[in-house]
Amino acid sequence: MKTVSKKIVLLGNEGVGKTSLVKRYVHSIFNDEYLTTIGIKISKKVVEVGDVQVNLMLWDIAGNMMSKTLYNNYLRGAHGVFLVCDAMRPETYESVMKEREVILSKDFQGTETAVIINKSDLITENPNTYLANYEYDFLTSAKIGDNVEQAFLQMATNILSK
Amino acid sequence: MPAEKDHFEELRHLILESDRENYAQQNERIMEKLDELEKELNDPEKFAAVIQQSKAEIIDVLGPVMGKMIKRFITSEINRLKQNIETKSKAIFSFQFLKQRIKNKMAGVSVGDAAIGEATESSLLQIFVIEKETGLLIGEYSPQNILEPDLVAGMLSAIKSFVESAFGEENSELESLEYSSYKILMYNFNRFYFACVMEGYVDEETRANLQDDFLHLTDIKLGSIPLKDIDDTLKKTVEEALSETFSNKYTSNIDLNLEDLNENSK
Repeated sequence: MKTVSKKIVLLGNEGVGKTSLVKRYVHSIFNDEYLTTIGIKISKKVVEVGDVQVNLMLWDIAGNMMSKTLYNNYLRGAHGVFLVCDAMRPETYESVMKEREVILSKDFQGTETAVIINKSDLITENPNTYLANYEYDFLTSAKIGDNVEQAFLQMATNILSK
Repeated sequence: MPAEKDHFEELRHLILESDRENYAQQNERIMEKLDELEKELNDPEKFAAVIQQSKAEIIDVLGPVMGKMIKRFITSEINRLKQNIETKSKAIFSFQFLKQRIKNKMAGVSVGDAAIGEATESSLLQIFVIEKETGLLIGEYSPQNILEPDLVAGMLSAIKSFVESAFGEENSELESLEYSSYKILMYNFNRFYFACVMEGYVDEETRANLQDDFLHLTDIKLGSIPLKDIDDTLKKTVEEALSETFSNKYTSNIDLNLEDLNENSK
């Protein structure tokens, strides 16, 4: 089986669940302290797309990153970017959509992007009604595991098909 | 006589009775004090307060003990170093030693560096070749295979980015990281960099030799490799090139030197 490696970056405001998304479903040898010290933590997720094994190297960037230079350095070279927001906090959705337009459309035109609305387990009404005004690719719950695997797999598939 | 005996018995009884009472009272006082002390020790707040109040006394008590332990450790390490230097110095008048001195002189290596370098071991633990743009691992060489390469390559790149963004001047790049007896030397090229994990004292000559090896490797084999897809075919190419260049190099040199010394002492 052929093996390829790809860099994936997770962006989004503090507390939207980026770290939870990667914590429960990926392999890591580093602890979360790196997020508060250097603002990043690297994890690895292995998925299979057809007969290709894809090593997704996940760069989880701290939501409260202050340095724009460092932020751009961490983003550099990304094959894919997950823009993560919180289903319960509309402002986090606005923030990632702005990020997608301002930064990604300019400097990362060849990068695959996907919007994840996380914490679906907290939505009490019909999700289609509740999220009628949102444009997103995945509705996930890091807590109960809904759609998390699918999001990683779809991201890998889209990157390989480019 | 019997009357005298009776008096003596009476006197002994009186004296011992008084002693017994004294002992009993003392025991009681000691037990009370012990109970108080036990209560204080079992109460974390009181215990902390006792330590806080007696800080100076505790330092006085522990200081000499700790000091002795540290002194013993340093003495033993210095002795070890001294023994190694003494062993080396036995070959001081050998032809090989003179040859090495001339070589060091020409390379600008100080006598101190050379002595320490020879007395301590340094060995290559792992080499990573990492793409600068993505932080992805292109290939690795690990005689002892101690680290998880994919994750370490990513984290090293993140740390490198962090240091360069936070403290670096324009166009400056991080060249080494140190932790305990480990050193990570970074040799930066245009599209990728080598991160070389060494253990022990790395002298200037070893650094320069590593630099030469990486320059040669990049010039001959890796300089033109396509990095569009980092896959196992690319990794295999890079890892074969690393293995060819570094196999049996920069390993711990103590055995080799002892052989040299045996040769010299014949």
